[in-house]
Amino acid sequence: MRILMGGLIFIFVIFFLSSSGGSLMAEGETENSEPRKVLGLFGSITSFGTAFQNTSHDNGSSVAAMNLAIALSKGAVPQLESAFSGPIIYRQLRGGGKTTSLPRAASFIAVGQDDGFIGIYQNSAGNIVTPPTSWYEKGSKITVESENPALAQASWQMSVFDTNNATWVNPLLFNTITFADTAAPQFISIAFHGVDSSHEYAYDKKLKPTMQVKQGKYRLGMEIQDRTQKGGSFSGVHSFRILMDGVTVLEKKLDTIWVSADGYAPFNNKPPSKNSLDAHGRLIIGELDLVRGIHVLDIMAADFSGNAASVQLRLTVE
Amino acid sequence: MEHAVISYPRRKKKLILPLFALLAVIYIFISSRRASEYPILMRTEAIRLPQTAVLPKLLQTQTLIQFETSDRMGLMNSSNTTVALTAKNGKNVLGPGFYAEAFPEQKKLVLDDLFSGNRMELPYYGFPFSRAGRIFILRPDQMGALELDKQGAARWTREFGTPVTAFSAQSTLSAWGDLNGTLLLLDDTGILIDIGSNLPWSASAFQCVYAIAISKDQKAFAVIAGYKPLMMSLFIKDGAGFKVAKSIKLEGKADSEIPMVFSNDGSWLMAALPDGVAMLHTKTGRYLHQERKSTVRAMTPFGQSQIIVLVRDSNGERLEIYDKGAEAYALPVEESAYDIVDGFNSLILTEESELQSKLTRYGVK
Repeated sequence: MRILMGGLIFIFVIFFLSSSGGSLMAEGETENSEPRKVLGLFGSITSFGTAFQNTSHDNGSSVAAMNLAIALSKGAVPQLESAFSGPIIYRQLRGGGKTTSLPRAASFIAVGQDDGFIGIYQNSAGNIVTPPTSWYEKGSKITVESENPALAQASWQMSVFDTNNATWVNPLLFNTITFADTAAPQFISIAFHGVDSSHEYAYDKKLKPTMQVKQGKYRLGMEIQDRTQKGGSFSGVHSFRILMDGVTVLEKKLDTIWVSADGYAPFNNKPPSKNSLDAHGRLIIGELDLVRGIHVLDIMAADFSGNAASVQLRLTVE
Repeated sequence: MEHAVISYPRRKKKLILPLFALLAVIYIFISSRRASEYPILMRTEAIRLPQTAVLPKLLQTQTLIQFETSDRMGLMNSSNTTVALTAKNGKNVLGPGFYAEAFPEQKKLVLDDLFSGNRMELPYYGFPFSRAGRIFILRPDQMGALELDKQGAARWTREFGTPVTAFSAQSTLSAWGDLNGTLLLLDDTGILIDIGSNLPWSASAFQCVYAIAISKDQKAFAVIAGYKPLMMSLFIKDGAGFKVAKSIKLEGKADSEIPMVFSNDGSWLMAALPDGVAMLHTKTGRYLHQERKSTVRAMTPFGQSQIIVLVRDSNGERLEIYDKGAEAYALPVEESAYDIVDGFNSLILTEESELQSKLTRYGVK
């Protein structure tokens, strides 16, 4: 009798649960869609360049990761052509978060290539419209929807991340857009910060290029701009070369920025990126040993297009 | 023919009656359990809020304080500990007792103490948001964040290697996941907590983090990360750190943030995957997947073990109430429904249209 009653109760309970709960089944599958290739014309460009500026934040500063800022001309279709081929591994729309979402200042998509590079396209004035296939072919259009199309045309950014080496990569290495940059960068100021001492020396173009400094190891900081007077295209500062008495003592290129759990930093400085800036926002390029004597220091910088600028300092090291 | 009279033995009659009585008792018992486990939501209050460009205006109601700004609205309880909040842009936030608004062009942040009336202008450049009563500021490039205390001072600051794609916080923990699959679990002073190495999604083709949820008791957190394969991982507290307790390889792939929450008692984890709803019983590791075509607009824990999901599909918009891994019942709502918030003993649904916004409060029957 107990068995009979237990069985009845069991059947009753099973019936109840099956009628009250949702149907549960095995994990579903998402079909892989064929990539869709879209061809189209590309709008003309009015402004173009790598943004490597300082941004004020948390009472200090940080260095922007390498972004290629792209502003399309007025009246152009607000779209870019993808330099990457692969699936969208992440997409984000602009706007406020719901109670569980983060605030989002810009819309962006991240396209993952087979070789491990992620191409990131961002628009801060509109939402990027993604294809139903969630896939971009190289050369296919990336379009944006915006209440302010003129602003959206001028609000594109592109950046590239290398997942194999955990580095940001200079996006100009992937750029397919033709542009003209004939202007050289301009030095604003140069500073020497003692590594093992508190000695600091600064030079700007209003001063005579002669300095008296104490012997020691110094971090070299530079404020340098690569912007044309008329606001046209610029490729961004890319390489630095320092010669002491005619011999190269420091050479750096801005091809990659490595990342870690503490952030990111150019020129192998220690993350976070604010460590790559001095108190006046100058970018720390590297370290120099200054030994007693009179030295001629040639500091050269070039943009990605090869336009170079130089400053010569005469140092009396005591 | 005398023997044709049908008669039941007296002993059998005795059995049938108690059996029916027992079934009735069982039915009543289960019915009463069902009622207590699946509280029915009833619409109890609807507040229409005109959109006006004003600073926070506090109106004391019976149990809740209603506020409105040009682009935010919500409710907080009168004890100033719970907030119900929705947002339309990321420039301002209203948390328990404070209102913060970012002015990116001027690279400053204004922090208002709503109860003392004190106003502070802070030199922070970023977008404020609030979780679990805490104030965070996200850098505009999503590659850095800080936490503010109520006096407007930075408790900690951190930079991330790539843009943050997922986040979760409770009272003393916060977790940040980024595009490159890095997951940082921080205490309330910004110190990194050990979660081990060789994370389950490290073998994926791309390692983007799509969802993070921390349980209310802060003894567990869950992560969905990885593009091919997509992995769901449950971490549990292990000494001073956390370790992986369960890792599930999910079918399909993700390409955007995935809503994921724990039930308030921590027993169930629920995530809205692109191809359906995933549920994980955290105690046994039992994984359930319900395939579906509808879009999940928002998700919130409710009560002890319930999780409420705001869903939209061809049949319209509705709230689906899940309990213990199964859908208990559904409640149709307006198609303009936008967000849902657990308001302790009530659920708050936000609807919006071009002309006005509406908060609807649902109580428990």
